[in-house]
Amino acid sequence: MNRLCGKISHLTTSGNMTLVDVDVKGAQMTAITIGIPEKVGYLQISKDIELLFNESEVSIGKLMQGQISFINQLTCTIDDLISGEIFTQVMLSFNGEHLTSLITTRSAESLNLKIGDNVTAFIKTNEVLLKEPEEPWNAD
Amino acid sequence: MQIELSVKKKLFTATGEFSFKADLNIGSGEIVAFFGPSGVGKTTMLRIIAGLTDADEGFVKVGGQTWFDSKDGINLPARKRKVGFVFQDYALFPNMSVRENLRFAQPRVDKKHIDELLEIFGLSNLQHRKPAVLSGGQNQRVALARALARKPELLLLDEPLSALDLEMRSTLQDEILHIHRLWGITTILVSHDLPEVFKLCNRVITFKDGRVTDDRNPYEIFARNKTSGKLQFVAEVLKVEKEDVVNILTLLIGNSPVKIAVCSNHQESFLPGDKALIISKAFNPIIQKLNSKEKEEGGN
Repeated sequence: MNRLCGKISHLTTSGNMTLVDVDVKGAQMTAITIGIPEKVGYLQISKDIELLFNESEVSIGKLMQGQISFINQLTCTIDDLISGEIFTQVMLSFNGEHLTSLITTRSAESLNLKIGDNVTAFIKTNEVLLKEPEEPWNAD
Repeated sequence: MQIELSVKKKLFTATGEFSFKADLNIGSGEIVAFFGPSGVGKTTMLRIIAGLTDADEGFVKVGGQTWFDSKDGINLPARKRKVGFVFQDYALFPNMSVRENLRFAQPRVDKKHIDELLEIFGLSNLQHRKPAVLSGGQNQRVALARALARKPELLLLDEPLSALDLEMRSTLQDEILHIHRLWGITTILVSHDLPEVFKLCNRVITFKDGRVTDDRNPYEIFARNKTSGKLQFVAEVLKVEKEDVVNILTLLIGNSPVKIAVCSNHQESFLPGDKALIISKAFNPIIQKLNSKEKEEGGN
């Protein structure tokens, strides 16, 4: 699971759904949720929020040209690659934040990914889970 | 029946003496879990309600009727309190048959109710057997049926299923839910089993050092935080296998083992026996219809 921390910068509500923009170290990330600020306590501008998403939901683009529908596009550097027969873990970083992408080894090879490469990480808006930062654990 | 109580009691345990104090209000028809480490007074609390142990101070009211009040010297004897109590070790009478165990619990014999209970718990064919020849699960069914035989206003379950295997536990949980839906008896369950608490209870009262430390619904207490994920399941980790650069976790969700792939750099490492919360967003699941309403209704 990838976990990025940021601050809510903008909220767009329609009916029961809210598009939540979050500033993560200067990069903008967006999540969508069924829920509206009036009913969900943590949907407030400038509130600290965590963004959670699975490694397998992070796609990688190299030398990107043209247009693509992903709102979440992070310009990253490859820090490390761990390859198995089927899957490859691509360890990425941007502005001091770390995330991991899990792609097929076939893709990693066809993109000829190397440590130090500059790539774009794409994450679908509806795959990003919002989480209120943890409260102290008091129920043991 | 609604339970209102405010009690104090000095307890003596292996680790020394401590004072137990609780103020609780449990609504009519609720199923509530008492949760916390051993020796914090959860069982004592049940015994105080049932009249098997006296509080040093305070009162216990059920359905507006005072069962205990230290100030007025009121202390209704245990046999007059309409309580069904189920213990982990069944506590059945070994010399009596299943049917006799149930009948003995009734202040006035109600044959029809006994037949109904034997039917609900699938004990009709075993009614003339003695506890010694029954399995653990069957004996615990008898204990539950016996607790219900006296038509209690409260059902107190003290870790009733913890000695049973997973499958039997799950079946009996379903039966407890079934009778709760049927009769809506206010129920308190002492349990250490998180999936069980999630399955049966919508309110959890946690105890620590003789005090109530939390009183909320299980997701608020155990999930530790609020996420926007709409589908949440509590699971138990059965197996962790490393395959390629991912870990395959075998999880028990309800009754079903399910395999889930987790990236092996996952910040938290999982071990068999761990409890886990599985979260999915409202947008993730793929949903397929299993029946066709039109066909069922004979339409076109």
